[in-house]
Amino acid sequence: MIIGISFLLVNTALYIKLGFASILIGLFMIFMITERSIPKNISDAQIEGNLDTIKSITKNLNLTGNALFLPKSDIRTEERIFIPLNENNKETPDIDDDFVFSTGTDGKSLGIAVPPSGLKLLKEIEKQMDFKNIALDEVEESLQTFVGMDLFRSVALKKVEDGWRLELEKPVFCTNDQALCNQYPCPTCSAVLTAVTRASKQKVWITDTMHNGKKVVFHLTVGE
Amino acid sequence: MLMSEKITLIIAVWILTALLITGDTNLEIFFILIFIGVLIVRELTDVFTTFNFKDRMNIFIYMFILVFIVIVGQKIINILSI
Repeated sequence: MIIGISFLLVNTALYIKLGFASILIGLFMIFMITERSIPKNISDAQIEGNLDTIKSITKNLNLTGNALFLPKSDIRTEERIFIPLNENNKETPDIDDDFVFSTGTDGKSLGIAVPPSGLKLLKEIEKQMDFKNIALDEVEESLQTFVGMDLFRSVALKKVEDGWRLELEKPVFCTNDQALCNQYPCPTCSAVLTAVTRASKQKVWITDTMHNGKKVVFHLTVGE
Repeated sequence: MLMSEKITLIIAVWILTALLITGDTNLEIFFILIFIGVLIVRELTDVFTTFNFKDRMNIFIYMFILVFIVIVGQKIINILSI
C-alpha cells in the first residue's frame, strides 16, 4: 500500500494505475485474508483424545456393528449415533437425548447411543448453510461449504444402486482406521454424515467404508 | 492454502492482468475490468465461501459500484454537454 501511495505521487497515467493496483491488492490482502489458524498437529491432537475414548468403549463392550445416524425426532432434540452389538441388530431402542447404554433388556438391540463427533462442527457450519430444509438429492451443493472451509478438498454424494455413496477427499483430519470410520467417524466426516442425516430426516446406516488413497468413501443406506 | 487466500490471489492476478491489458489507456476501463473480475469471482466462489467472507467481499463490490456510478455519471455529463 505504501508503494501504491508513492506511485500516485508520480503524475503519469501508468504510475497512477500502478498506484491504484498496489493499493487495491494491499486492501484485498488486509481485509480478505483475516482467518485465524492454529497448527494442524495441535488441532489433530484435540480431536484424537475424544475418538480414543469412544474406541475403547466400543472395544470393551465388544460392539462390532456399524454406526447408525439417527435424525431428530419428537424424543430427540439432536442427531445421535447408535452403535449396535453387531450388523444383524438393525432394530433400535427408543433413543432420547439422555439415552447412552442400551442393555437389550427392552428386547431391542444392544449397543450405545452417543452424539456424533461432528455435531458441534455442523452447528458452526449451519450458521453459514442450512441443511434442514434441503432434499437429500440437492444436499451435495450445500455440502460444498465444507470445501469452502478447507475441511475437505472435495465432497461428492451420489445415489447408487444399493444406497448412497459419499466421497470425501483429503479430510483435514483422518485416523485411517477403517473400523473406527465404520463405527464412529472423525468430526469432519461425521459432520458431513450428520448433515446428510439432517437433510434426509431418516436413519442413515454406514454399510461400508473405504480408504482409497486420499479419499474416504462411505456407502450409506438411508431410511431402513 | 486457505480458500480466502486462493481467492485473494486470483483477484490480485486479475488486477495485474487488467493493468497489463489496459496499458497507458484511461483509468475507467482499468477499474471496470477489475470490477467485472471481482463480480465473476464472487459469483463463482459463492458455494465455497463463508457468510463472513462474502460480507467482506461485498464491501469491495459496493465500493466498486460507487466508482462505477461516478464513471457512468461523468460519461453522461460529457455526452450531454456535447
